[in-house]
Amino acid sequence: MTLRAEQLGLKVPGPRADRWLIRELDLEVAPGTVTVIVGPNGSGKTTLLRTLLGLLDPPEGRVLLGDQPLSHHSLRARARVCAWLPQRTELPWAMTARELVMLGRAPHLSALAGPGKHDHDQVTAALARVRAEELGARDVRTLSGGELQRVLLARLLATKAPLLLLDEPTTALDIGHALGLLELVRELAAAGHGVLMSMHELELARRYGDRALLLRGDGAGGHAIGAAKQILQPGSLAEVFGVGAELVGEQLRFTTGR
Amino acid sequence: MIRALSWSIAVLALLLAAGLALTVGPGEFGLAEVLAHLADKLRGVESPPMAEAILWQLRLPRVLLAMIVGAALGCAGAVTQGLFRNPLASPGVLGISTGAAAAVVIGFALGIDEQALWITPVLAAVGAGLILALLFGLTVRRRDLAYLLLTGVALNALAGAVSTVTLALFLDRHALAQKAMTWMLGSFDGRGFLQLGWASGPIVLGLLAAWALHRPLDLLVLGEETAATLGVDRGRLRLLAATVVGVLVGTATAAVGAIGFVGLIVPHLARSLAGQAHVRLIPASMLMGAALVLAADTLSRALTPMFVAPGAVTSLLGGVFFLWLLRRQTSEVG
Repeated sequence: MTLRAEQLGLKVPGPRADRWLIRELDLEVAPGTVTVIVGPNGSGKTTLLRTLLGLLDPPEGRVLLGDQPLSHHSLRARARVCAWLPQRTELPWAMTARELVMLGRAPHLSALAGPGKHDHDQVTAALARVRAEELGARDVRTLSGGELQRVLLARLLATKAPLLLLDEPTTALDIGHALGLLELVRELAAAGHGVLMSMHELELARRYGDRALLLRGDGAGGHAIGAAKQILQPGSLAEVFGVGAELVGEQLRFTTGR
Repeated sequence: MIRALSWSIAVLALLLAAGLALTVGPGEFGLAEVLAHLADKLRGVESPPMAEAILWQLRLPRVLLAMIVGAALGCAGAVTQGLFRNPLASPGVLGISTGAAAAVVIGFALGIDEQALWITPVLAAVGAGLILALLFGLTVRRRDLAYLLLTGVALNALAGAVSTVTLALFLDRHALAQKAMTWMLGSFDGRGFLQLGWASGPIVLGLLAAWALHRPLDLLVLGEETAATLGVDRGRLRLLAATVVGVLVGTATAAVGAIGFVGLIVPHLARSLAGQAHVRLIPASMLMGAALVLAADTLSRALTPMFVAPGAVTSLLGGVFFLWLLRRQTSEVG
């Protein structure tokens, strides 16, 4: 199943007039592809993700899940298709990593019945998928940033949702953990998941994304969408981020100023 | 296996505490005697008149009332903490109990509580629900701990002031003032089968409904929006949880007055024993709430010849506990 935005327009109230974050966006989150969203701070990456999940109603355009508007599907039905990893997850009290991953089974459980053997197997498999089996019994509040992010990703996988929407999954991670997570994302896409994720690391976005959406943050909803290597070019990045950029071999290099 | 064992121990401990509570007070009845009378009662043998009057007419309803009120407050505490994703949120701290009390005092002043038995609990539930609605409205944009607690403090003060002003306006009516004061202090004195009769229905329903919310409350730990992406209807959950808390706190408050801090202490103890999953946390909070209120009432009856409200005992314990918790909580954050 695919998730599509049609002629989507998103805006935030500005001092005089509304600021358009995005206008006339057509976007598809399709199985097997990794789409990255890049853009300056405040350009609407998170707002777009939240709109695609149905947490916000778009002022313009619409979001379709399969052939039907998102609102025609029940919350539980949507939860079985689209899973979300927010930018930050603050956990108010102690719980084990397994308990946290088990929360991902909720869209498959009836209201009163507890999880069965199948659900426990799914949790084990999800933890193994992110190579975090040994963290299962740990209190999530004692995990490092990189470990927690893997456990949270396992929570998404336990849901068995084919589409994964990730909001800056690598921002809080050191380069080793960031690369590890992105390799994992590529594996998941190779296994058929559709991934849409926002990122700040342009070089990594270029390397790990199949497709890219570049938000200009110009207040008029300007954006560019296409193959990652085409969209994430030195010229457009320099313009959008106000930096100097050049391509050395296949590497992006950035300098301050133009 | 170990889990089943510890649950059985908890239930047995509560029953034993209830048995002990029956022995406390004027009129000498040992635990063995109480149990013997109870066995007779179950076989349909008449108790001697003295035992009949003291044990079965005075103490038993009181003990049962203390237990269901405690269960209601403990459970409401667990639901409130889960709903606000915050271990410091509780009906007492956030002013929900005070709101219930204020609504009842207004009912006393206007004399509408005399009309029918169900009016006082309904008023209390509406008062509690109103404070919850205000809390949600005022904190919808900012969910941090300090802001939530301060909003609760303000609403608590506001509801307290409404009670005080209402009482002051009717101060010349001594009977009313005394009735309201005794009730507000939180007391099981003079409560019996009458209160037990009308309070147990809504409380049992509220407890069952609270347990039925265990899965969405679990999911809220990830944050409201993430819970929504896992199928939780946020608006519906808030409405249901607020109704449940309103009914539980309202009915308990209507029956015995404001008993503070049970909803704060109990879920904490329960969490350390039963874990954070609400499927076990909610029943554990019911059990421990029942035990705590029963203990508070029994202690105040055993230790003080004069009348000391059990609400004062729980507040003494709870105030200290709250400070300790706040210190631990802020040192964790900092």
